[in-house]
Amino acid sequence: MKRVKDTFTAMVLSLTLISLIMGGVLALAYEATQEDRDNAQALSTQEKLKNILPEFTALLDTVIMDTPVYGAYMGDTLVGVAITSVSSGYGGKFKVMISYKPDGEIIDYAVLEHNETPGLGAKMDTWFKKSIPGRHAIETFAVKKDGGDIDAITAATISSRGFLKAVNNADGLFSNIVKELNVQEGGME
Amino acid sequence: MNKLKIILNGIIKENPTFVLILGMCPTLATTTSAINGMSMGLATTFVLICSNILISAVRNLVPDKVHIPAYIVIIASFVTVLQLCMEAYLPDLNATLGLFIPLIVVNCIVLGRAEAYAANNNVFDSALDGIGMGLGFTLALTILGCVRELLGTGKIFNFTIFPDDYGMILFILAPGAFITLGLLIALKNHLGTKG
Repeated sequence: MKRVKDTFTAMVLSLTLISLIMGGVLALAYEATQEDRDNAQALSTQEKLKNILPEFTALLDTVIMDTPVYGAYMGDTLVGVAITSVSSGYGGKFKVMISYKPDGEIIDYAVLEHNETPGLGAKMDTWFKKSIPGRHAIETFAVKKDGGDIDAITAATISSRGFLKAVNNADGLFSNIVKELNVQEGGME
Repeated sequence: MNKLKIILNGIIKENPTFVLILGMCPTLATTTSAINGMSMGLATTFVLICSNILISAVRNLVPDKVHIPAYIVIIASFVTVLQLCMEAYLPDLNATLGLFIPLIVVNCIVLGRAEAYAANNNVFDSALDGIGMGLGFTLALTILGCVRELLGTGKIFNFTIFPDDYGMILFILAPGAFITLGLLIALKNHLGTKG
């Protein structure tokens, strides 16, 4: 079969047809994967919440002051709060979740999304586990280079600063969020 | 025998990374670890095979003057399908590689093979060419990723070979990518001229 000639009609027709067909393929793929995509995202957040929060019987998923917040309840008592926080590191924006006891003690944290360099900034998912948990929300953290007392990740000071900024942001919101969650809890009764 | 040659052509004789030096952006950016390099290679292989097949099937229906836009539409669609599937079924991998998947659209290898091979050959041969080129690319990226991960962090595929305190961070960063790639190409040329 010979290739069709460069006539105007042939060009318009072939491009239109190809675009239409591929558009259809995209729509199909989008529809087919939508449910699984939503599930995958929800599942990974759920998993991480379970890892960083104390045992709970009910989880309140809400937004307070434009920040997604999770309140963990054991019966009617608030036992833990997880606050998501966005900051930027070496490879762009990243998202972390910090969990607190109701009195403000930091329990743990989890990195939700990041684009940091593997082997360097990407180590933040475990690196700060030895320095941050056990501290208190009223503290402001800084790396040693900036006069603080937190060890920065070796050769990844920018990522470390970004991470601590995310923690500090969450810390700043903590007292208001806890107040808000306690009110909501009262409302549920 | 001839068909096998088409596949081997992509892996060795015209290896996209070591011989054609195409698709350098993902090659240098994603090979910080062996698993990342391999995943990127496999993702590109998927797109290469699909786009080669479809482009070869429609090659005589597309007039010469509009073939590039037509091919780009086809390639971009497959890349998007791939990204949707990764989001749905491989969320962890998507978290690390997600940024680079859309860049497969502008990867020179994919459009290059569409132009140079799929546009002039039948569907079956084009599929084989896609497999060969894809495997060649995957192999190159995996080797590059292994070397960089080992020298940089002391691990290969996350198995610790030596403690990462001795790792040379340079190899994880961009300069390490250029140095490793240069040395590997030199090695490939040395072996090639001997044989």
